[in-house]
Amino acid sequence: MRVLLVEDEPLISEFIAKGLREAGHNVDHTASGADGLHMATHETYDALILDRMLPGLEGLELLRMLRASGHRTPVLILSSLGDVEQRVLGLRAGADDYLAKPFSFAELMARLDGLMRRQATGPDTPTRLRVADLEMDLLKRTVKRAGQHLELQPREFRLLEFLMRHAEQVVTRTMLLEAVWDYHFDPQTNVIDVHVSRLRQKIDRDLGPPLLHTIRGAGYLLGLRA
Amino acid sequence: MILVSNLRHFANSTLNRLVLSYGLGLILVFGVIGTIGLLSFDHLLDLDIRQTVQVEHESLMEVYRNDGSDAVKKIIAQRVREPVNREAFYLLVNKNAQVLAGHRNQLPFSLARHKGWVRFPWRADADSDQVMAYVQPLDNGDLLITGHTSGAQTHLRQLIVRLGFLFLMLLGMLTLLFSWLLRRAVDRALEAPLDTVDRVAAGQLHERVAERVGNDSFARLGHTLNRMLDRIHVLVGGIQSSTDAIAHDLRTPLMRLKTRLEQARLETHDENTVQKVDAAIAEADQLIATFNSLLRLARIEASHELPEKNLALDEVLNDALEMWQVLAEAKGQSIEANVDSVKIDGDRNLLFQLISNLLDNAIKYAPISSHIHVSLIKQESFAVLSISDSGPGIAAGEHEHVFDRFVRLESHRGTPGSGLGLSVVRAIAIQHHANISLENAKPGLRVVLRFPIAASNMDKMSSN
Repeated sequence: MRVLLVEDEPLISEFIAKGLREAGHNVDHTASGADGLHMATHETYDALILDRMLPGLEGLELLRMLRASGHRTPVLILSSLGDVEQRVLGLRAGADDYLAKPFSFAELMARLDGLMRRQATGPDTPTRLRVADLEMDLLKRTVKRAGQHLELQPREFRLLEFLMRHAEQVVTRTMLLEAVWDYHFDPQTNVIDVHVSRLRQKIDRDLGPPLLHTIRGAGYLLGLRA
Repeated sequence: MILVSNLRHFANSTLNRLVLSYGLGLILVFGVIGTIGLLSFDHLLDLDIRQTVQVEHESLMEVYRNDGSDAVKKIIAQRVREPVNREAFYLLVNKNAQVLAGHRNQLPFSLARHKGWVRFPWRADADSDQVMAYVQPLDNGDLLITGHTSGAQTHLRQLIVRLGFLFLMLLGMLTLLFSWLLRRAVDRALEAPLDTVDRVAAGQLHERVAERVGNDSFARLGHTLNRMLDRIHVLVGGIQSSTDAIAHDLRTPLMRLKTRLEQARLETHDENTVQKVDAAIAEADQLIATFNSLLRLARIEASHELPEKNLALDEVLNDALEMWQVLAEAKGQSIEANVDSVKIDGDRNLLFQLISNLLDNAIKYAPISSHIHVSLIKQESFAVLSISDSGPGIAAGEHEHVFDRFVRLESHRGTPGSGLGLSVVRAIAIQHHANISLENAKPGLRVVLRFPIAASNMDKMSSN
C-alpha cells in the first residue's frame, strides 16, 4: 500500500511514518499543504493522511481542491479540532474518516485499515458473515458458534456485526460508540468495556478458542490469534 | 376585588404611575389656582357692589342734607315706581320702624339702629339673590337703607364655577387619554429592541436593534444596546477562537507526550518498564479526557443553537438506559424506568451526554444491589426527567456548589472522576432552557430536570 502523509509536526509524522513502514506500507511524507496537493494529484496513492492545520494551505482546503479535481483517494483527517461540528465539517469536505488528536497509533492503523478495505471491497452488503467458526445470518438475524445457536440482544447483535465486518482489525471504543450506538459523546467510564465483556461471555465461553480480544491501549479485535 | 386587582395591575406599570401622578398633580394645581381665583373674584365683586352702593348713598345723603327727609322720601318713591337701575334697593323707615318709602313694606331684618353694611335675601324664597345694603341712621331718627343686589354677578360666578369643574373633568380625561397614548408610544418604541435582544439571548448573535434618528433616550437606547450586543458578539467569538487556539496549542504537546510514551512502549521489552509506561499512558489519557471535557464545556456554554426540532427525548433516554443498564447490573443494581413519549427541541448527542453523566453518577454512588429510579413525564408544558439513587446524597448546603468546575465533594475523593460531569450537565441543561434542581430522595439524591416541550408538540396536544 502506498500512503501519503501530510503533517507538519515532525515528531508525530516521524512516528506515524515509522509505524506504517513497519506494518509494510510505502510512505511519502510532506510538511507543506501545497506540496501535499501537488503530490496527491500527480502520484497515485491508496490513502491520504491529512493534518488540518498546515502551513500554507489548510487541510480542508486541500481536500476540497483534491475532490473538486476528481480524485477519489480515501482520506483520513487528523486534527486537534475534535468536536462533532469540526468532524462534520471534515466529512462534508470529502474526508472518509476523521481522527481527533491526540490519538493512539493503534487507532490510526485501525481506521486506515478500515478505509482501505472499504475501498477494496466496495459498499457491498453480504447476507452472511463468518469469522472462524462464528457465523452470523444478517437476514434471519441469527448467530451460531460451532453450530450452536446463540441468543443475542439487538444491541449485542449490532456490536458483533460491526466487529465481524471489521474482523482481524483493531476497533477502538470511539469507533464502536459511533457505529453501534450512533451517539457522539464522551462516556468517561468503561461502559463500552462492560458491553464487550458481556458479548464475550456469550460467544467465547466454553465454545472453543477465544475470538474477541482486548488490545491494550487501543480497543478490541475479533479473530483467531495464535 | 376585581377592581382592586385591576387597579393594582394598572399601578404596577411605572409608566402608568408616572402619567397618573402627573395628571393628579395637574388637577390639584388647577383646583388650587381656581379656588384662589374664585375667592379673589368674590372679593372684587364685593368691593364693586359696595362702591356702587356708596355712590348712591352719598347722592341721597346730599339730597337729605340740602332738602331734608321728605325730599329723600320723594326720590325713593319715584325710583321704586320708575326704576333706573333694576338692581338698586332703597328703603326709608322712621324711628317706629314704619316704612316711609322703598322696595319693602317692612324691614327685611331685625331693626338695628346702627350704621354699617348688612346682607339679606331679596325675596323670601331660598335661592333668592342677596342684597348688600348700607344702613344710615338720619338725624331725625329715620333709617336710610341703600342697597344693590348681586344677581348678575352671582350668575356669572355660578357660570365660572361650573366651567371650572368642566375644565377639571376635561383635564382628568385628557390625562387618561395622554397616559394611554404615551404608554402605547413607549411600548411601540421598545417592542422592536426588546424582541431583538430576546432573539440575541436565544442565540442569534448577529441580530441588531434598528437605530432611530434623533437624540432622545430611545435613540440612545438603540445605540447603546447595539454597542453591548457587538461587545457580546466579540466576547463569545473570542471564547470560541481562544478555545480553538487552546485546543491546538495544548493538544499538540499532549499528542507528542503520548507519541513518545507509545514509542517508548514499543521499544522496550522489559515487562516492568512496560507496566510503568502503560500507567503513564493511562495518566496521559485521563489528562486528555479532562482537557476534552473542559473544551467541550466551553463550547457548549458558548453555543445556544438547538439543532433538532421535535427530538424524541424518550428515545434518547431509552438508548442511554440500555447502554448504562449493563453497568448497573454489573454492580447488582436495577434501574426502574417510567418513560412517557415526549418531544423537545434539542441536540441528541448532548442530551445523551447529559443523561449518561447523571446515570454514571447514580450508578457510581448508589450502593450495591439498590434500585435507581428514572422517570420522564409530561407535566403541563414541561418534560420532567428525574433520576434518583439511594446513595449518600448531597447535603442541601452543597447543592449549588456541585455544579461548579472541578468541585468534588470530600466524601467522593478517591473515586475516579474529573469533577466536570455535573458542570457539563448544567451547561447542557442551560443550553436547552431546562431548569435543574437537586432534591433529597430520602435516602439518596434526586436530580430533576424540566425541559420546555417543543412548541409544535404543544399545538398537537392542545388540538387533541
